[in-house]
This record gives sequence, structure tokens and C-alpha cells, in this order.
Amino acid sequence: MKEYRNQVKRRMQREFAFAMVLVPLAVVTMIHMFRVEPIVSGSSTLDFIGGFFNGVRAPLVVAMSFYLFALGFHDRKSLHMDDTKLKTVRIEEKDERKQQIRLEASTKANWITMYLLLVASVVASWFHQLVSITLLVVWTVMMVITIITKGIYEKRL
Amino acid sequence: MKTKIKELRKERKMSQEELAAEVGTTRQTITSLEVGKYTASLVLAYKIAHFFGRTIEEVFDFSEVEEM
Repeated sequence: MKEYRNQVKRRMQREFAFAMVLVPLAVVTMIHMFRVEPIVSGSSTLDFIGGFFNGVRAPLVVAMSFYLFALGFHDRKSLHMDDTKLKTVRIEEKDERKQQIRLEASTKANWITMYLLLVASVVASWFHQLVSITLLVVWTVMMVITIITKGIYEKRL
Repeated sequence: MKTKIKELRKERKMSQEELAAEVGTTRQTITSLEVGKYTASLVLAYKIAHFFGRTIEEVFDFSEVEEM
């Protein structure tokens, strides 16, 4: 149990460090959004899309920060649990079936996202080249990350 | 994969929750194993068989695997 407690502690520290980067980033994004002059393209559809993405970007960063803090809070609670309660939490987390579910779900979600990005990129190319290229860049980055992580785990396992 | 977990558990008059706690897994995993929806890892299979004082082959039915 001591080992798991230490693991929770280390995870909490990592999440806190990550949140420390994200929170200022969120604040900077928010300030930037209010300061930047709106770009008027002349097309109401494009303005709408641009506004939509600008509106989504900052709350997303803020939500991520809160999510990380919430996770940290959950872990902090685990640190103060007695051994019996902590054992239950550990079993819930380490259960092999749940791990497999998480793995299968995230792998499928990753591939679905990649296919959707490609389709969206093609569809976007009919209307807006920049959006299409951005989506293609995101797809490429995701593909590269997938290949790299796959390579790492091929060596590890 | 078919297993004898349910029979062995009933013999010992244990609940799924109790067995799960003994082998360090969740009740849902025991349910899935009993209905054959989930195939246990070697470690979990060993833990379950060891808990009942049986061999892995006595608890888990590998006939379907052999046919593959």
C-alpha cells in the first residue's frame, strides 16, 4: 500500500506541475482573445466559424486546467485514506478488465478521430484551404505521435 | 472462455464481491469471467485457481483455445 501511496503522490506532483503550465497558458489565451481585434472576412459564415473556434479555444484550456486540479484533488483525498479504502481505490484503478476497456476505448477513439480529421480536411478543402491544411497538420502530428509511441512500446514490451 | 468460477464460489458460499477482494480485482470482472465475456490474464487466472486450491486448467476451460 505504501508503494501505491507513493505512486499517487508522484502522480499528483506531475499533474500539479502540468496544471502550473496550463493555468498561465489559459490566462494568457483569455487576455489575448479579448485584446485581439476581430478579423472581418466579409463572409458571415467564415466569421461565424472563426468566432466559434475562438470561443471554444480558451474555455477548453480553462476546462483542462480545472480538470487537472480536480484530478489532483481526487488523488490528494486518496493520500489520506486508510489502507482498506486505499486498497479498494487501487483495485478499481488497477483492475485488468478496466485497464483493457480503457485501452480498447482510447485506441478506437484515436483511430476514429484520425479518420474524421481526414474526412473533415477533405470537406473543408472545398470551402477553406487554411482550415483544411490545419486539419491535415493536426492529422499528421497525431499520426507521428502514434508511430513514435508505438515504437517506444514495441521496445518496452 | 468457460470457467468453473461460479460453481467453486458457490461451493464456498462466497459472494462475487468477496472473491474479487480475495484475488484483488473488481466484482464486475468476476461477473464477466463467470459469464465468459472476459478472458483473464495469466496472473489473474493463477490467483483465482490458487485461491480455490486448483490448477488453472481445472478452473478455466481451454478446449475452445485448443481448437483455434
